[in-house]
Amino acid sequence: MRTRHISRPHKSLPLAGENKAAITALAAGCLLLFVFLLAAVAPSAFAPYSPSDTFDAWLPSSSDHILGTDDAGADVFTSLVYATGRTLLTGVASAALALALGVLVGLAAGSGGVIGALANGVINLFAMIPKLPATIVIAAFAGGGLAETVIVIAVFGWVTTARAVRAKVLHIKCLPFADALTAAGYSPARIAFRHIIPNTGEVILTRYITTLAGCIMTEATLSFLGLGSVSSPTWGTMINLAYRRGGFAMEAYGWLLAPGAAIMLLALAFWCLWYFAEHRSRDVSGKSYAD
Amino acid sequence: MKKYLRHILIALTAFLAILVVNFALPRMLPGDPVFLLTGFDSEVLSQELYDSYYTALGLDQPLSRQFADYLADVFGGGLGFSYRLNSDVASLIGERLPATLQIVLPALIISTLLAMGAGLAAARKPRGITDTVMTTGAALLGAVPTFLAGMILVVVFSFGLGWLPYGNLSSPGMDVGTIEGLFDRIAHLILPIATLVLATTPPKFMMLRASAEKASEEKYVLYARSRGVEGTRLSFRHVFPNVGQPFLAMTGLNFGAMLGGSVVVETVFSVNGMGLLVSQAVSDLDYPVLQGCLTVISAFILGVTVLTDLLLLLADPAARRKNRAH
Repeated sequence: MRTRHISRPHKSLPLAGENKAAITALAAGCLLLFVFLLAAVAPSAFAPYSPSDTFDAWLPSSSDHILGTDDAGADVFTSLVYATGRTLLTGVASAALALALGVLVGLAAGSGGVIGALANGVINLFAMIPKLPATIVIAAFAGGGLAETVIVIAVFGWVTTARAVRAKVLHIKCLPFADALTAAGYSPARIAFRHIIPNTGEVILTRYITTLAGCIMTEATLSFLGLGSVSSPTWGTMINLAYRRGGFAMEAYGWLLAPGAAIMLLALAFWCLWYFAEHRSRDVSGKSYAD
Repeated sequence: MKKYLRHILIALTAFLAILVVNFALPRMLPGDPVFLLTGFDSEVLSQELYDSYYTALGLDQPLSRQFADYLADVFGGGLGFSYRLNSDVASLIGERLPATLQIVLPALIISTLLAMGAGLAAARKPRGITDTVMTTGAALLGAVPTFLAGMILVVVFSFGLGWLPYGNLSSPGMDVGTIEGLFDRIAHLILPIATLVLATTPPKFMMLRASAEKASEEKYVLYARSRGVEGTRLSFRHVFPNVGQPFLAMTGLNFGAMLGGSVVVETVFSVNGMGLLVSQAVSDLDYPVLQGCLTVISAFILGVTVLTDLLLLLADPAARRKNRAH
């Protein structure tokens, strides 16, 4: 690994074009995310109506109702805007939990000894479990509250983070400063939390972005299958309702497709940020850990 | 050799862990195990029925006895009993598994080949025009949720253009045995398979592209190039054998993700397979069915892992030669 580090000439030397692409990605990602955050914080500023307003059911899209109305006569665009906050909240919370789990297990797996082997075994075990079916079963048992959904998504969302953190920890441990700290008599725990974790920052950041996109996707799939909460719907719940209440037969494509498109835009925003972060970390270290 | 054995051992442990979790969930959760094992709630069940279920499910027995009975049921082929559909879960799944496999297996093969071709082509000239187009495309595709991809395909090709049929795997009255029936089946399969391929190819492509790009900087590639080996021959004969092992291992693992994705695809296309069974069980809270499906999917993953590892072992010259030396 170290030989590659030295012998590998900086592949990305002609950087001008790539830098531009990375900065464009950053700008696009930030812009998209900013719009979504605004919609989450102040939905009334975006939505043309209040969520309790009702009109005729199954209206096609028009200038009054950009995406039409649903079976109960609610404006689809308004519901979409009001569901933004809940969707983002579930994603952010479950990704944060998954990240914390992943960092802890990854750190343990990189520490060597019995704990390291055990943690590594747990990572490999979870990587082998079918993620979506297992999540579905546990979500069905747990029920559809916010806390339950967040925990269920995080339970299977931490594995790739743990792998990336482990790889980075193993790499850092080979560096001279880690040896120096050990020689200076610091305890392994202190070295791990005070010196190694801060150095994994860039891996953790890129992993958080990908985990966020992944968690939002998982939540959407669970809700699409009917495992979401009905009282405070997310985009996935909207699609589930549109699908089950005959959106196809009524050709209510705005109701069926718009929430999915919103999820796609959100995932793309995260991907843009990830691209920028990846590009940066490759510039700095010449190596990528965040697969 | 050891690597593959370890891999198989992990897959076996994962399968056993799923069995234990399946057993533990309805019994350890705060809810009433009778409701969690039957999917009924107190409004449906009278006290007498509740009591009869309680003994029928063996909940009066000690936990160790219950676990032994549960294992006997799983390996004896019953996989539990769905009180909602009034049938044992194994036969429910057995009826629907062929439909699921008709979608998943072709999708697995197509997406693997696509990812292989595209990944190697993109890595041939990193950051070139092919690479940029393909990587951007994969990133865009990767952001599309599976159900959105399926719905767009339905809206465009079934409802809009009317080229392909929607719903189920055969038109009513068609027999797959006949030529007409066969074409009808293929027409029904195109969109579900395409959806699953769209959903599962990007991660495989990204993985292979990254490892093939890294391998292209190795000296053996330089040497092959200096001998005049170029293009596809370089990719498939020199680069792929060196990066293919983790790629194929990932493809095997990906089978589980495809069976999971099939839940969404079958729901969108209303194909009566195991995936639709899962999504109906979700809305009915038919827990035994959900658990049975999870067990079957885990067993599939175990089987596929063992199979890919054996194949890789046979294909891996280093492991082969070491075996011969022993």
